[in-house]
Amino acid sequence: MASCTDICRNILLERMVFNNHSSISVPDEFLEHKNYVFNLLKSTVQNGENNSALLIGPRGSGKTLLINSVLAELEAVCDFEKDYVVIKLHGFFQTDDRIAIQEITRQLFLEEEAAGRAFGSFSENLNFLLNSLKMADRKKAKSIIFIMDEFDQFCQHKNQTLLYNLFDVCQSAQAPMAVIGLTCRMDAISLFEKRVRSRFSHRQIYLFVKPDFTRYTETFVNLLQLVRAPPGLKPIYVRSWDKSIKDLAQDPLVEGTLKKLFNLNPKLRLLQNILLVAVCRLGKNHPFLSSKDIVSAIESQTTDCKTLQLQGLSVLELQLLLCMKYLDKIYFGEPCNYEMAFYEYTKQMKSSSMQKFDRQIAMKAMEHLETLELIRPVEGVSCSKVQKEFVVYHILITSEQLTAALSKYPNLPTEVKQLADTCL
Amino acid sequence: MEINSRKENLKAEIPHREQQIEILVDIIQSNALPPFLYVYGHTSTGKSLVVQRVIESVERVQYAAIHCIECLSPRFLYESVLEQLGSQERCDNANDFARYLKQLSDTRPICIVLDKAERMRDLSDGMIIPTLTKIPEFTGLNICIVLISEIPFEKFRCGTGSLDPIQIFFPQYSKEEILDLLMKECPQPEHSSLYQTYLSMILGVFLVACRDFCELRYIAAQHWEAFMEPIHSGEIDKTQSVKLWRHLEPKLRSSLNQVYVRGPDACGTQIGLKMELPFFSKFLIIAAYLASYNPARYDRRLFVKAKEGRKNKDKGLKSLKKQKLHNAARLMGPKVFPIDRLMAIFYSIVEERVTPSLNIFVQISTLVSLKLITHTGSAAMFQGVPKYRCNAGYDLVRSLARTVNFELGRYLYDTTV
Repeated sequence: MASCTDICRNILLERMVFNNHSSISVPDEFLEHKNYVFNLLKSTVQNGENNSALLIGPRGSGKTLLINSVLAELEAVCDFEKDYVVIKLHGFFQTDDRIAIQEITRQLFLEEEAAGRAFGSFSENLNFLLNSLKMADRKKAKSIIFIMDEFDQFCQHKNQTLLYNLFDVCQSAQAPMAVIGLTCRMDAISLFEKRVRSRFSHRQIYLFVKPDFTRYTETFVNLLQLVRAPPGLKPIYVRSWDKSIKDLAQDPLVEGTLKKLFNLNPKLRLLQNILLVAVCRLGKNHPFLSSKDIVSAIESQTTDCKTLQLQGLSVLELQLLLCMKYLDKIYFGEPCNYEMAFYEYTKQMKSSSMQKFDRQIAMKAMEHLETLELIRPVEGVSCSKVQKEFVVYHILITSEQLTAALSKYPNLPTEVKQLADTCL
Repeated sequence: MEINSRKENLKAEIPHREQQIEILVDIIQSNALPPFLYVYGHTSTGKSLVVQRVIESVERVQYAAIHCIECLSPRFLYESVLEQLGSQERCDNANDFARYLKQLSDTRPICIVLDKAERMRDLSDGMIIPTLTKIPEFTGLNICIVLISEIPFEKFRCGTGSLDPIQIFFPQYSKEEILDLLMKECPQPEHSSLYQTYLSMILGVFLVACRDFCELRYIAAQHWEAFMEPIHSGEIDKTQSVKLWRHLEPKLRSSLNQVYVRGPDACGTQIGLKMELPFFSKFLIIAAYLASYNPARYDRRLFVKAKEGRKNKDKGLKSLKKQKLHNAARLMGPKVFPIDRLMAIFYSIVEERVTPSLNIFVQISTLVSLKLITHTGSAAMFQGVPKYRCNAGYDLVRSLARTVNFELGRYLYDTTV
């Protein structure tokens, strides 16, 4: 018998992963854009017009969400399958024009008919596909809607043939078609070739939202509240849960940390990830979320990873890193090699009672630092021409990260602390 | 509850990883898998072990694991995953991969685990990570991509960006945790308190250089016999820990130089120490080393006949030693020298009269093929004077000089070690 907490937890976990919750709907500012796109597509389907548009917005701003809701509305209004066809292409997956045309064929269910044919050029292939959508009396053809996700990737194809042909058909009204591209690059149009750009309608819709902290806290509360009692949970439990979430949102500690998070990165996806980690803590012994859960979840997802890495290094590796940082300081950023670092290390360790390591171990420590990408060989120097000990490295750690890591390092020897004071 | 008993079993099996096991079990066994998980931490912190055990313990989830070292091209990756999930298709691009995933007959949620994911960053022009993380959204299936790596996620970002993962960090073990873990591997349980003293001795010496758990486990296993030896022979009693420490310490110090480098012939990896070189070849290497690491303008002072040059040499070198570290030749690396400088130095350091013959020059070619000297310069090898650079290390040259009774220190411009 699953307890109330477990049921609640499962519901919330699902909500964080699948974006079908009501609080994740098209924001009000986008309704105008949504109607615009909806009207565009409706006129393609019902009146046989040709349209093309580009939706531009940063990652996680809701482009796919908007398109999906438009398509859902369209399905309610017009007759899917009979009047129009939707073809979805994705720039990451259709990396080649050949793969793209195969995918289009597949989505139109024309594989058998295209199988026997040999096509001379891409446009022949495309024209064959479009013609097959025409009815026998050649009077009314099915409208096609192309939705192209990660649109800027299609611009990287050779000669941009797919784009050229699509926009060409669109422009010359050979078939009723709409092309909607979704991209996160502002300069997507500048990626077009001249012939493609001239055939594009230059209709661009920008999806920018000004981040607002009150909206952010509202989303936080909406994501966590249950509101309606789902099957298996008593309404009294739902009420107490919702109240605990409201109290949590008003807790000054939570509010302060949320504000910091909002200033760092106001994206919804990050909030969902954090709440997922926090909700995982719920259990029999822990029936309600506490402010500590939220704060530690935020910390685990936004912490500086390099400082965490530095805390796991051995003392020798830290010493070598400090010596390299010192050389970096006195030589104003010139990269140094292993020999110089080791020489500095022996010099600094001359007066200390700690174990001094010889070259081989120090070399291995250096290689470990390189594997962890805390130091990186300078570009342009091929490793085969230069001996291992003389390869010059850049240091990719700042002094602040080192200081922060050393303050949290367990059982740090005092000599290393003194070394850090001189070096940083 | 089934979940809690599963967690307890895993925590008992894998100690000191409670927090990570909690989060992973909760995430993996919910109905909705998040699309992208990123697990990171130092080597030997148990990342692959924990992920594997957690996923295996949840029967509801299918599991495909890839080690990215094996993936020379995306094709290996796709086909290996499909094979582990029961499909026999050939596949070399992401579109087909997504299609075959949709066609799988088994509709349970899928976890794809990629170990050492940092090696995969450059596949498909750097697009492989964004593509893989979009697969759950694109196919609409319940898939979770888990990346395991040593490096923070910020180094994986490229291009226009991709989905951000849920990050799970595996911290390095502390000294107490390592002690506890090693105690579980005690070879002779009856000596457990003795083993504990032994381990604290070992960790006291080795933990400064190395916190890698697997390496420490190997070292602990290696020296146990040596530690137990005086006890078995009755020399030292079990309780006299100070004497035991004094007995063990020299062995530990000597093997400290072989941490990470296993095997009897750990040091002296350069060929010269293994094989015997001809007499003149040794002098050639020494001459090459001197040519690389001494500035050319001090050759005359150093190598003109010993009696005449000695006074000048001493005066000269004293003032030279005031040079800044910055110019220390030994630290900058070997410099390039033309062959006639090499021959000049060679003739001056070899005591007896040597006639320049083909044999000497052939030995130079042999040294080049042994990679003790490298030939620098491009394809225009036959134009001008051939130039070389010495590749031998200081330790090698010093040991060679000792075998031929040559005082290397006297001829080196910069004697910083």
